[in-house]
Amino acid sequence: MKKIVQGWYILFLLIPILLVVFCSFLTKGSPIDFSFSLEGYKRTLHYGFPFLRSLGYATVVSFLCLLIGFPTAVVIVSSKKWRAMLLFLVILPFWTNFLVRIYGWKIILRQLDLLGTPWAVIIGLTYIYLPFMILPLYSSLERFDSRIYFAARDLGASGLQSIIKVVLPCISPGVRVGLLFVFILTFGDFVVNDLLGGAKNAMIGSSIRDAYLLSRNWPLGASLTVVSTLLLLCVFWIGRKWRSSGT
Amino acid sequence: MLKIEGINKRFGSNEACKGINLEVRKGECFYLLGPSGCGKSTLLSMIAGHLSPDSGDIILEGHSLLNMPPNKRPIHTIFQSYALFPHLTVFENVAFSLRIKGVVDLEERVLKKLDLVSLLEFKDRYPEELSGGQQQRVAIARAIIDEPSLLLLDEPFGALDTKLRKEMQLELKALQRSLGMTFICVTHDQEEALSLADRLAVMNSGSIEQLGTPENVYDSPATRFVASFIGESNILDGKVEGDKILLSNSISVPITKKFQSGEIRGVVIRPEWFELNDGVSVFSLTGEVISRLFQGASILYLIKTELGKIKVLVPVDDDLSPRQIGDSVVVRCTSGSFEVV
Repeated sequence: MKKIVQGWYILFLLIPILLVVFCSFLTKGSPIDFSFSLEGYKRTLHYGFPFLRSLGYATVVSFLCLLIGFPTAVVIVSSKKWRAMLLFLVILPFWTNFLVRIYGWKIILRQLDLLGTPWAVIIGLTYIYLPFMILPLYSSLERFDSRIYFAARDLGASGLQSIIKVVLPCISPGVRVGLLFVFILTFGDFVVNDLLGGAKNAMIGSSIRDAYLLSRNWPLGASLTVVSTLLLLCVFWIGRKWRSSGT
Repeated sequence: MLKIEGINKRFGSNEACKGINLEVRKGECFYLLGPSGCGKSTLLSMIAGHLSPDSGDIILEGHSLLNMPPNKRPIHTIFQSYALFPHLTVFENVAFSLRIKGVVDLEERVLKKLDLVSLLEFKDRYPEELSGGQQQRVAIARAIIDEPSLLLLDEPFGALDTKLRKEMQLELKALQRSLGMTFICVTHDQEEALSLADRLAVMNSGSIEQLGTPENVYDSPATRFVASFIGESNILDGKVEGDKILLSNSISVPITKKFQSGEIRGVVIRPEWFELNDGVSVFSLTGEVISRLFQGASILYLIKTELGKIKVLVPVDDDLSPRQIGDSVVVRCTSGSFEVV
């Protein structure tokens, strides 16, 4: 069993990553020349804004999803009778194609005169990735003893204080998984931004896609990918630091 | 100190509390006793403020609590299974309410309370690293940290094994006395309520069946429910006729309470109220011993009589010649040793 797991990791995680890392140090050709070059990494320096935009959107959307997802998950957990139905409703949008739903939003956002603005991107991303927050929060809350919340209220904490000081720390595995999902997925997304935000304000996902598919610059695409991955790792490292210093 | 006036609470079609009235005195240990689903926990939640009543009022020292959220009430609760904060150490659990209040100089106060429940050496542990008894001590320390005037306890000993339960009961009772706090406890364990309560209210399906001291409730149960729920009892049914109840054609019992003639009422006789020797009696029954349980200080006999099977408890000292199974005996009910419900 352990061998299978190791084999799985090597085949589907390690080899692809090494290929990308390898590719990022090569020279642009058609598509690549096998000679060493740092050209790809040098050019990533011009991609500061897409990186920042992705980080910014991912941060905002993760916390928005937590803000909306937490009360939603609480409602689902506390309604014994409708629980299955509500969970079904959370998953239901996945049954419709992603693009169709985004085009739906396009119509709504145009009516609201928001199309092409960062708000449109934030709304779209939050909508798309919300279920990835709700589901892990739900599974954590289901195992949470609600008396612990009442104990906090009883000892003088207001509703909000009880949630922040007691409930969220108690369900932190779910919160972390939810934030992780939403952050990673949002960071790499390019479709929502292209369709709702307009292509000129690219997120890093679109830049990577363009590098690989439009300008056929594989080393640049690979460099951008490597830097993205390192950035994500940095974010999680900071998150861990912050968490362990918080408790 | 705490007055509960005409509290009603309904969940859908289920009436959890039906017009409950009671008054808890300062410094007493008051018990709400009843089977599960009788409304006792609902009532406790309403006092704590986690639920609000449909009608009625809850008044603490002259002020209504109804529009006060639970965090503003000067009341703390020890929850069933304690509800300790799993992500905080013992120290931080106990310090919680002081931290919320913004008390800066709290270390000494917390340590003092931890010392009181002899948990000083465990202050840096997490709740999951403690035994059940220790967890309960944390819950106690956490609830008494700012010396609330009223402490609510929801099945406080439910999660402990029998031996530890006795120990903790004695300890908590001593603590209550020394701190002079008012306790309201909820339990379904009649033994616990009888031994710890100063006064108790026996609840059944949303109403209070009887309110009084443990002695009072045990010795003169007001209703059939109280008689059967608290302690062992023989309830013999009979028809009321004037100032008597007929238990059979030849056996009758005089009654002082006013009942309608023709009503069916129960005569409650505790097993230890019967006598197995000769003497004056209100009525006596001849029967046959069909079972015998030695209980250390006393012997419980099950005796088959014309009124059905009757439990009789006889202290070993009084029982000079212990009866054997199959023996024929005379069971005597003396005057004053029965209650009609």
